[in-house]
Amino acid sequence: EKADQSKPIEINANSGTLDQLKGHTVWEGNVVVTQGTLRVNADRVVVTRDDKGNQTVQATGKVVTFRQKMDGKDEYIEGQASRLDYTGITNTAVLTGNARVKRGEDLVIGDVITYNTQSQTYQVKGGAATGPNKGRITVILQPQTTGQQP
Amino acid sequence: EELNTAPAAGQTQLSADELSGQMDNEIKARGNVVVRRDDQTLTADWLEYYQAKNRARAGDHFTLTQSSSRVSGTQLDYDLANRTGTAEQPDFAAAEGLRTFRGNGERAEFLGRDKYRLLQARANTCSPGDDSWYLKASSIDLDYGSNVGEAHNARLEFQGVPILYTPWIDFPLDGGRKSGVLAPTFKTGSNGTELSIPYYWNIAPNYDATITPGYNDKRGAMLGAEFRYLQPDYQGEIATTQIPDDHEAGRSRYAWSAKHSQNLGSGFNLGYNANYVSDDDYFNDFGSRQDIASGTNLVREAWLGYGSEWDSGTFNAQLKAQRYQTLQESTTPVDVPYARLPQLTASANQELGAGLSANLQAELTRFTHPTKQEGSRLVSYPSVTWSLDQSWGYLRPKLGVHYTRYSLDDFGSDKAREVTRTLPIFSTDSGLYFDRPTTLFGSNYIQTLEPRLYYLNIPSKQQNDLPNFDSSENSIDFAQLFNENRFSGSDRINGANQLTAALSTRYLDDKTGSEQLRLSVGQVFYFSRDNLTLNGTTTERSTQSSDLLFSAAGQLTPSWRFDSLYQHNQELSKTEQYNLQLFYTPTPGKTASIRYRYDRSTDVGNADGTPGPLRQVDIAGQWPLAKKWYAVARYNYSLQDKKPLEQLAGFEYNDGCWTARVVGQRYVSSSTATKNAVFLQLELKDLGGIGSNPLDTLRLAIPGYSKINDIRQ
Amino acid sequence: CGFQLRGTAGSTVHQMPFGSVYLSGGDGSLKPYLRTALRRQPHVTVTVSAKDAEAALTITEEKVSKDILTINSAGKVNEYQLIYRVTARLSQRGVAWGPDMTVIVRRSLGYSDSAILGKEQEESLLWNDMRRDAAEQLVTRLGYLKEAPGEHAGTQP
Repeated sequence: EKADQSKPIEINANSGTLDQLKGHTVWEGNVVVTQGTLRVNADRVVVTRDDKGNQTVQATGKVVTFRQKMDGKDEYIEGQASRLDYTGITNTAVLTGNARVKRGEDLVIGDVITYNTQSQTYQVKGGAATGPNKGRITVILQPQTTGQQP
Repeated sequence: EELNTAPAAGQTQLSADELSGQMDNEIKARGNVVVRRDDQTLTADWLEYYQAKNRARAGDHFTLTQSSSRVSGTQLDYDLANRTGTAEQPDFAAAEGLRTFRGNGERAEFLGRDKYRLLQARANTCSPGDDSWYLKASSIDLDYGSNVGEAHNARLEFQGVPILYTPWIDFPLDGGRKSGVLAPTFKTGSNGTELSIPYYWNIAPNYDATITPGYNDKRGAMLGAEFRYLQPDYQGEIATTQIPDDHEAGRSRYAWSAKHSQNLGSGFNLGYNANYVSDDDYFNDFGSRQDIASGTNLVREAWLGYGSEWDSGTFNAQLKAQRYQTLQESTTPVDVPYARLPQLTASANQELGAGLSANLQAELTRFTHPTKQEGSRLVSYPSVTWSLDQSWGYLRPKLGVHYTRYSLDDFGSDKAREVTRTLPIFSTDSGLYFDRPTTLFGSNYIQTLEPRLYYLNIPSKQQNDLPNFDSSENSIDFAQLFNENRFSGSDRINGANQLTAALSTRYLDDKTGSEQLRLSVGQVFYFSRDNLTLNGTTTERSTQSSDLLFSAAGQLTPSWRFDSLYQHNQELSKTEQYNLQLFYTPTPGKTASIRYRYDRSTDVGNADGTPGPLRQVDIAGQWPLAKKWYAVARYNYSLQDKKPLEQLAGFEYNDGCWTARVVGQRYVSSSTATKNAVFLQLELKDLGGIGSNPLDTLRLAIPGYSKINDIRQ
Repeated sequence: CGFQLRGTAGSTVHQMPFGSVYLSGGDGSLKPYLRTALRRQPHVTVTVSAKDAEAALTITEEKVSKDILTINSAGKVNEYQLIYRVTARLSQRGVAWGPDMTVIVRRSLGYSDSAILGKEQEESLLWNDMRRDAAEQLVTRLGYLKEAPGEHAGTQP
């Protein structure tokens, strides 16, 4: 949810190294990044901070997962992919490689999913026809329990 | 793995090449988009889906399939939850497994589950690419829930030629309409040329009515109406034809018929069957061959019945009121039957154990007649039967007393009086069964040999002082040989001291036991010479035995069947009657039959209506001429009168999606008059027929006739 | 000439493949005739209720039709043809025991309009005779059915 922005980022991992020159820190070995309700698991995470303090997180691994509570609803949004690039300033998370985003029971599957946590909009690319999803995107929406009769 | 799990009810599954969206709000997809929800599958080039409203907009080209239909078109605006929406340039087709129905139009509206409306539409029931006919209408409503389609200001075009316009028409979607009558029906022949337009009104699921206004060039305006109802416990129909001002007859003509049967529960049932026409010549002027032939006595009866059954017996009772309207004919006056107002009948059967069973037949009837003796009659016929039933045979002695009491009104010079008649009746039925395996024409059969002896003893009694309310002499056949009384009804009981001997042999298929051939011979041997005639006087019998009866019938191969009977009159030592019927039906649509019948004396044998011989040959057939073409024909010639009694010839053409029939029929309608009828029918597959429906006539005229549009081409 | 009295030692007797049967279906008019024909089969009882019967004989289709067969030269009916067609199925606990059996019986009824009341009763005499005939043919064919469906089907139904 939006309140996460102001929360401190906490990262723990097996090992972490600081590269002052490039201005980024690298964490490896089942890395867990938490910020408020946001929580990311990955094998390797690289956090870079530019001079204005904007952060970008790049998480890679066999399966990178992220989980965040929705605004004003006690529903969670979860995602997984082989790589996650999160850019704080634009609130966009780009999941690449067999990407999935699940919100409540709704599910989006594709090769690359670009998701804006602010506007909750997403663009999905199917990827190569030879890829796991054969270049196709799939969305599964559960019946509307509220109001409309299914 | 979510992909291949069975989609839960109400779940929407969408896949595409490209996709973008906003959670809980909308999705835009592009590149062979596929959306699945319950039984609905939508494919399109692009799609916008508004999740909250379950609304999908799809375009450039879409196809939406669901349980009852497949609709494709250019633009779609559709609510997947409520199944409502519109489509542009729709192509509609009924779903696989349902009766073919295809159509297209400017726009289509989805009006909920299984309900569609095509606007400015064109539709037919033919397979794709076959536009030999179509229905053009401003709107066609299709409801696959109730399986009824409706078209508004519809025009039917056949081979491009408009042949019918009607502001409103409805038709079955499951081929379920009754006789498939569709507007208009067209008849021509001796009854004049008649055009009528039936309107089928589906009032409620099991109530329907057909109103048929029409015009006959000889008779003037006509109105037919039929109301039918079908409920679990009761069903019936009321039908009438009204001709308010018959030009030729200069008066109003009408026909009424009403049937009703109802199960009242706990064993009770009631019903009525009433038929009435305005005058004696009604059927001659308006009726078909069947109406004329069997339309002499029109029954009007109502009944209340009760029946109960328990393990060892049954009881049935019925209160009935019945009278007949007898249509007289100038040439051959017909005897008006008595009316039974009312008649109370009861029959009971009770098994007493050790093979014994008691039976009671009782009847109390009030007979009325315009000219003859009237009165009431009580009949009570209790009897006891002992039956020994074994696998090798049976023995069934029966003893009963037939008691009849008449209370007759004054009649001319005779004063009212009571008359009774009591006759003991003893009979013993016995039979043996023999089997053996055998072969006939090369196939194996089990042949049975069944001798049967039936002894009957009834004291002979003069009965010419008794009226004849309902008795007539039964024609001799194998059922009658083993019957207690030569006369039906209860007014005449023949004296008897006789033994009926019969022998029959059956050839049973040795695998299934089904009877393929049966030969029987039978005769009655009289030990007393007393013989009762229908008018009640006893006369001397001149021979010791009754007519000799032979019969042979069978179906040795699936396509050949024959039926034959020979009766030899011992008294006159002449042939009394014989007939031979041969049927050849190799496949549906191919049938041929020949029947020959000779009867030494029938009551309407000679032209002047006096009893005389009957000699008739009847050849009938239906045969394919060429692909899709069939010929039907019947020739029923009376050798005795040297004139044909019925000639029928016609052609049928079945083009898969429509069938055309042209049938001409010429038949004898009285001893001096013949009538003809022409049937022209265009039957549109599963929609109904236009013109006059010859199917009943063909079914009766040609044994083994089958509807060619049911035969796979 | 090879004929054996049915049911005695030498005859190729066709025993009923069941000991008790429950009759149902149709409008019930065939039932008394089926009972009489079955009574001639040794050790077969007709039960009152379905549950204590080894087999059930159900009339699945019963069709009665009376059509004009012959017309006299005055255009009136001289003979009607009566056709009684019945289809029955033997089953054990819902499992069909052999194919459905169809029997068609035909009789012709001499007719004359001036004796309509008498002909009404003669017609019912013929219908009864046709039902007796059909019942006997059905019971004969029951004897030709193979063993119960359960036995050779392996799985106990």
